[in-house]
Amino acid sequence: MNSSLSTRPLASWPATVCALIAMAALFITGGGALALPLSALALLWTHFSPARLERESFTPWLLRLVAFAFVVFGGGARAALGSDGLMDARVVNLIGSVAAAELAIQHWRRYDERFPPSSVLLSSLVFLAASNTSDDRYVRFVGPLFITFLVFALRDLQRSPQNGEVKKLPRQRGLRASSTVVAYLVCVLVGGAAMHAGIDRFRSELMSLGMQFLRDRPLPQNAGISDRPRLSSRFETPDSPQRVLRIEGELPDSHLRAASFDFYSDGTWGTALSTRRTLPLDEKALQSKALGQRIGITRLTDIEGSFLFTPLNIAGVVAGGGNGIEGELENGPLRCDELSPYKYQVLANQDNIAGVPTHQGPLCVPPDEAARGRYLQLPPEIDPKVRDLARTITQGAAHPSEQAEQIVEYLMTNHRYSRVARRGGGDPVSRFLLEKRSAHCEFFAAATAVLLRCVGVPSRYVVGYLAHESAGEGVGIVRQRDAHAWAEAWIEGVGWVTVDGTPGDGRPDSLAPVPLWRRAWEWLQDGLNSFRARAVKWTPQQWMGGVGALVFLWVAIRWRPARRARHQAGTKYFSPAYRLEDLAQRFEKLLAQRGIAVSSARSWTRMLTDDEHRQAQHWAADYERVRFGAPDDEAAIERLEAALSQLETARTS
Amino acid sequence: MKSEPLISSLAAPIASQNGSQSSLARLEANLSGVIRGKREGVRLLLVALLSGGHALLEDVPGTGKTTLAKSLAASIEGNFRRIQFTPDLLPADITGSSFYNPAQGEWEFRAGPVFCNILLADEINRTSPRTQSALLEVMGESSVTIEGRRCPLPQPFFVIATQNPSDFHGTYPLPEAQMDRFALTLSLGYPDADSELEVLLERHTRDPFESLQPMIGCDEVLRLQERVRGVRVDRAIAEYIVRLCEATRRDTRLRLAISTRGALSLYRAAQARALLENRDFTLPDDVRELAVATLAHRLALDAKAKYAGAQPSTLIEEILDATPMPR
Repeated sequence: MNSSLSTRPLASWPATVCALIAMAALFITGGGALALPLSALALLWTHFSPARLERESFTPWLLRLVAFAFVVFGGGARAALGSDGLMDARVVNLIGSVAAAELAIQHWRRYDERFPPSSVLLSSLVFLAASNTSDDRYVRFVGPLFITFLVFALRDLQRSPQNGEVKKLPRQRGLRASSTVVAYLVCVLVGGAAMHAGIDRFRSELMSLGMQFLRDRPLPQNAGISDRPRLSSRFETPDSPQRVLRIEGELPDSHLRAASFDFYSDGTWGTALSTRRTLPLDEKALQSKALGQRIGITRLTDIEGSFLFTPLNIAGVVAGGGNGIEGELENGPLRCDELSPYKYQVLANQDNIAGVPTHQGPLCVPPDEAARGRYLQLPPEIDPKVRDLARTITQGAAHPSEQAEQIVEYLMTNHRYSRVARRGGGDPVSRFLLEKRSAHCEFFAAATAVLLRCVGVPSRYVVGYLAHESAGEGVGIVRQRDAHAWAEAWIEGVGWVTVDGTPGDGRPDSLAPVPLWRRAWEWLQDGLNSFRARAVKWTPQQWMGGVGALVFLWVAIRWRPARRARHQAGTKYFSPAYRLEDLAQRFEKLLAQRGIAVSSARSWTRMLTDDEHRQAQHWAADYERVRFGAPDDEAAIERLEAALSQLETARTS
Repeated sequence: MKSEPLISSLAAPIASQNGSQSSLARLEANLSGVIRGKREGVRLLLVALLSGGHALLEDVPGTGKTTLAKSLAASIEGNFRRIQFTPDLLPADITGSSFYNPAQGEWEFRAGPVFCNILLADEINRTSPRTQSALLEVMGESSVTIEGRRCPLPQPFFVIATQNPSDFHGTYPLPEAQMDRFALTLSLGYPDADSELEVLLERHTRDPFESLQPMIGCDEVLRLQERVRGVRVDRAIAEYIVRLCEATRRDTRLRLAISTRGALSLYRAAQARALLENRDFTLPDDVRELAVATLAHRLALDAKAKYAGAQPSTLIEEILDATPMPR
């Protein structure tokens, strides 16, 4: 690397003042540290001293910026949001010191057209850090001043030659200039005060807006589980193929219950879900001693009520981290208020009798006397003929299980499934049973329960989902349209079992398969959701690491082709020696300062034709000689540099 | 404010061979003595000569085309021939032909007027395309092939072709594709009043052409052509030339854009001009100032632009103004 230091035009003084104000603000509000005043002194020295760093390449600059960002966000963020949400003073000092050091280095570098004075931007950052403290009365005073100088610094930035066409900005002198400055100051003061007041007033709204964006919670879906199931003429469940659950493993029973209802009256099942107790259930309550195969169930969308869906005869439910499971064990529902995707596990047990699962896990609470009474209750509006029908159906059955079997068979053979049912007047179940109407699963479930109660088998009405769709090896998907209703019966000597009286074609099996595009979209959604769930738990360091890696990757990918494209587009300054490029840029700046309009399509020697620019013309001719004749002649370049410095210092004469 | 150069050590040219400097200067002075007030035209002609190309003069009669060509030939101690093209001229009248000499009993080759150093092809647009292409071929090949026998032309071989720009009756104007073979076009035009007065006064007693002394020899011209090829061209300048050509190819008003041959001509012409100004490196200004002369005749405007009154030279000026020059 060429070790010679050479002069360059002085740094833009508004930018330097901005930087100084920013550092001062930080010093005042941060409580004072030695690093800041030292950095301020260094900055001033770089402004007045002619010595300059050689040009740096892009990579160390970028690395330094990334490290700086890490320090600011990584180290500071943890401590930053303290108990009162404001930045710790030590952290502010640290930020200020690093930023100040960076500013000093930036000022010390040679001017490079490719990187606009980042010192201006960095000083803004420092200022923002300073203003984010409780002592903002200083900042309120110093703010307008900072913004004024920032505006001037940015105007200087605009003046640098971009495409060779330099805008000839007139020099304003005297009263006109002062009035401009005053006007700026007034606008900035007023604007700044208004902005400050606005932020103060709307601080809470802005914060909540930010939080909302971060923890975006989509509207919970209606799961098709109504608060009080009412037998109605239409099967009121959303017919949508929206996914609700993913099941990993072989379920012994495809009925996934949400809650059961025991009280029937006037075509409606109770008690309402909203009136049930929601007590936290600990691990012991949720797991029996028996072992079981772990089957994972993932809730894919947020649903109203945050229900958990499990088969009846499981050996246990295991929460998936975060909040625990709460609810009621006997009739459900089980709830867990976590964001989707939320994964929990059920322990499946293979106990069964003739294929019907019979394991009595934590959800199978044996009914006491009072409960039995509830499960056998029949309202008076049930037609007495229904009792006779029940007895007729279960004639000859010795055991309640046989009774249940016969009821199911009767319903399946004598009634047809239809999504629309005629409710009619009176008790809908009686009408349904006696008039052999076709209806949907709610009716079938209610009828099953009622018939069982008629023959003295305690039973209840259950709502939930039926898992039937497979999405690959050992994975099942449950969609909203798979909502279903069935009954559960308490069989003496066995326990609670599922009794589903809906005919085969009423089960969701017969629905249309899901199209490919929908499957692809669901796959994408899964990925995004799991990423989001992980991302919310990331620490700020991990965030910064991720962002930094992305920025680095983007820059690395874009940098080379961009450089090549710039070359091909015909950059104005393409020279084997960058020193000549530098000289050319300095010369053009000089011409701009002297108010000479220069076109990029004409050579300097043709533009500088009048007498008063004789010196500049000579220099331009010499430059051309070196540039196109002997660009490797170091001695000639040195002489050119010396001559240019002479020219530059002579501008005031 | 000082009026002398800042860096006196850089005031002198970096490289110069005093020999060639003076010979070119003398040549120029010689020609300027005969053709008054047309310094730029003379320089362009010398650029064409040194770059190894040929020149096309588009001029009204009586402006000194023949005089210029004869003076040039005299100055370089070369042979001068003139062909006046007429509609009934045959290719053999240019290249020469074989004829049977009964006295010696065999075929003899009689060289045509093209075997010379400086050829003035007058009114090239008055002859049939067959004859035109014969000449152009000769210009391209620098040799003549008669019945399988290849006869090289003397070196240096320089053609100055002329066209009368306002005479369209009974002419076969050269199509643009063949104009491409000329390195540059120039137009002398009428001299200004002072120069014309000088001419009249000078010719009152003597003919300046008679007192013309040869300045350099033909081999010196060949050496100069060699030196031209060695003039340094910075890569940025080559890219500038390419950008100009690309700009013409992108321009929608042009039916025919600059070919690689055109780019090469401009390249050589820039080198030649640099040598003429006693430099051994080209400057972007060389390219810029030769662009119109070298490129304008190679372009063809499309119908819409032509009827709108656009000229190739203005188009080139526009492109020059829009392309940034290397610094």
